[in-house]
Amino acid sequence: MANRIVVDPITRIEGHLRIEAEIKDGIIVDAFSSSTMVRGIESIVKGRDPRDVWAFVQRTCGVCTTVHALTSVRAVEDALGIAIPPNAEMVRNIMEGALYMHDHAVHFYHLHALDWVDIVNALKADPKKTSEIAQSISSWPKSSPGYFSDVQKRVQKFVESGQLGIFANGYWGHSQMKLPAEVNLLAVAHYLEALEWQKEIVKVHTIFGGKNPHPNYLVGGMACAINSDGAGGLNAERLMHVEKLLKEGKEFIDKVYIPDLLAIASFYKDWGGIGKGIGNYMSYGDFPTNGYADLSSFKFQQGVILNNDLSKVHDVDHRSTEEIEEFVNNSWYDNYAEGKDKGRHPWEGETNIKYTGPKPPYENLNVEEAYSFIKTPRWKGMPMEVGPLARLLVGYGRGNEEIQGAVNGALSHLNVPVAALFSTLGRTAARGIETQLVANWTLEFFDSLMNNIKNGDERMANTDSWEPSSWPKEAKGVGFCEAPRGALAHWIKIKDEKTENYQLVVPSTWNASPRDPKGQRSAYEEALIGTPVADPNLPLEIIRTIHSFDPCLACAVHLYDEHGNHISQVQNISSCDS
Amino acid sequence: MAGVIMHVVAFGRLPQLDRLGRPKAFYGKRVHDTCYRRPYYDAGLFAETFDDDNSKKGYCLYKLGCKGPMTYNACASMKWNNGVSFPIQSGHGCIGCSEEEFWDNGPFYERTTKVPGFAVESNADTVGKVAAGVLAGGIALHAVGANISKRKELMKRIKSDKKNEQNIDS
Repeated sequence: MANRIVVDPITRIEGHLRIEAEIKDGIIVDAFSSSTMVRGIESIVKGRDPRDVWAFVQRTCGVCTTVHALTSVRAVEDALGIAIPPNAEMVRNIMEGALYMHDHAVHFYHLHALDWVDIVNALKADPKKTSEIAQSISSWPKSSPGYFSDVQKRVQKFVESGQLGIFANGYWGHSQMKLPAEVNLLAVAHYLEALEWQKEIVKVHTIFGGKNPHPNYLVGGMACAINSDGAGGLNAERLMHVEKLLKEGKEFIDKVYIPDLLAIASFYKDWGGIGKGIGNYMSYGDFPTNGYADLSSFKFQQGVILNNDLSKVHDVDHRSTEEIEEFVNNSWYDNYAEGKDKGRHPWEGETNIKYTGPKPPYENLNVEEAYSFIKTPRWKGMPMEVGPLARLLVGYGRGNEEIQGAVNGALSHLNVPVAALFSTLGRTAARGIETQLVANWTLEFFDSLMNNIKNGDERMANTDSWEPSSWPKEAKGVGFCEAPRGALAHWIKIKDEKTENYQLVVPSTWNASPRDPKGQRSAYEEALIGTPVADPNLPLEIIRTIHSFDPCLACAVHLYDEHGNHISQVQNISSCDS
Repeated sequence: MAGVIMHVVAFGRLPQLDRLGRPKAFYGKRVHDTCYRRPYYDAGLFAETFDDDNSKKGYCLYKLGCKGPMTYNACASMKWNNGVSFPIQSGHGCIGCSEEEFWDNGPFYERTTKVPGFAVESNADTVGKVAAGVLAGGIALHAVGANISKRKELMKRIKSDKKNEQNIDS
């Protein structure tokens, strides 16, 4: 009898973002974004020790593997009035910085590049010409004709064996693939290099947090005690290892990711006019350098931009019940007691699941009623786009010279106007630009940590309020951060030493949510309107725009004609879930 | 996951599993038994709070809730991400994430914990001993007296090491 191996689920990153788009005369006229899987972590953490919650909510996502833990410990610290030592702040910043480098590079090469790069076409490339291109845009050493010739042979073997493996699910030969064969080969080579590289940068998490994915965090600071003259904690060997990893990470960003991004973008400038979105952008701000309470010390600033107007940046207040609200009018949850069209501030939020959608398997969702497990968050009643582009635009609007310089540099390199930022291309470019900024900052955080230790400050945790008996009977707090995918916040209420209520509003909730009671579309839905689709059976254009947001959910794209006839259903490789 | 595939490729058969369906090659030993901080546990030297002097010295994290004594995994021997570190080495107790229903096996930072496989809930000071004795299949209980003598021995060694260091320095 044969042995049967069952691996289930084969991957957790597939299938729970669903886009239904309506098309007329080759142009998308309407779109609906739905998450068909429930999160429900909020219900799981109720009644638990607030100090434990980070470990539960961290498992919301395996890719952005630190941000929910960070946001959770910040929420508890906020509720209990705990200020963490400067060393812990720097270690958290360094870990988050390493996450940005890992996450954004992996998104670019492994989750987004194949929307633009034709792997099979790379077989037609002249390796000598690829080498010339590589050497003209970067001093990265792996650039000889022989190197690219070897890569080409590897891909040739894949294709000939009929087992494209990781490359199987692509749009090879699509009319909208515009790169010359030589640039395709360059991108394929770096796709493979990035696979190896990404295993290294995550070791920063392993040193400080013990493992990756899901390194350990701690309410009050970090658990990785410093012992500069001992073998029991962080010492020179451990810290120099971190520095080496960060420097190597930065080198890859500077010499591979950024040159590739600019080279590929230069062939797709028309995408600077596609995928415009709602024009409202929000950032919570992150990377504190003088304590989490001092917003002015944040490297990424907080704020809201409305209608693409960079001249005015509005402040965000997470505590105000007038600002951030979540609606469930189009989601599979019980309506709030106040009524279907009322929103709730997350401190009062509920997660009472009530699925009313079609019974699977189904052809399409009934978008006249609830159609997603994602709730609909709004800032002062308005939909917001969050993510790298939002962060850079808020910094730009606030007059942050470092951010303005980086953005203007990329725009002039590509010779495109500022308006090109509000687009699919703009989102993808912004992700690269900010990765370079964060890679630099992370080395600054490392220097700051080392200076503290040199000056004799070896504190890593504030345990004054560790014992629950020292807590007030009731407390509430909010923790926020800028996850790689955008503004993320957790709200907690603590009562009798336990978690009484907990709500996460994650970046993809902002971007991927269904319509609000006013019928306003969220960022994904809006960005698809007006997108041309050359071949409805291979809707590459939809995937490009949705991937430009780096969706925290994998895509299953469904396309309908104006009469609602199902044209295609496309399963598509995509990213993570938070 | 990769280990299972390697096993199949290397030996042409599926790996043996324990009663929870975990490959024995990776889940056959407790984190506690392979932990480099185990000598401190045996000697009764514990971190009392995070970031205290004892935690800086790398003492055992059992009193801070470490679930190493009731967790079967290879973290302490293989370590994570190509052998760089593992949770205990980076100062945080094991949360027991490879154990059945680990999320309900007691709060992560409390020693009092419900050890899987036991009908009774044990208190803080007995859990480690009971777990060591029963789960590992009859390893002798840690007698208090033995701990004290080991502790004395260890402290003596630490002191003599310091003396040696001073001699080298001068």
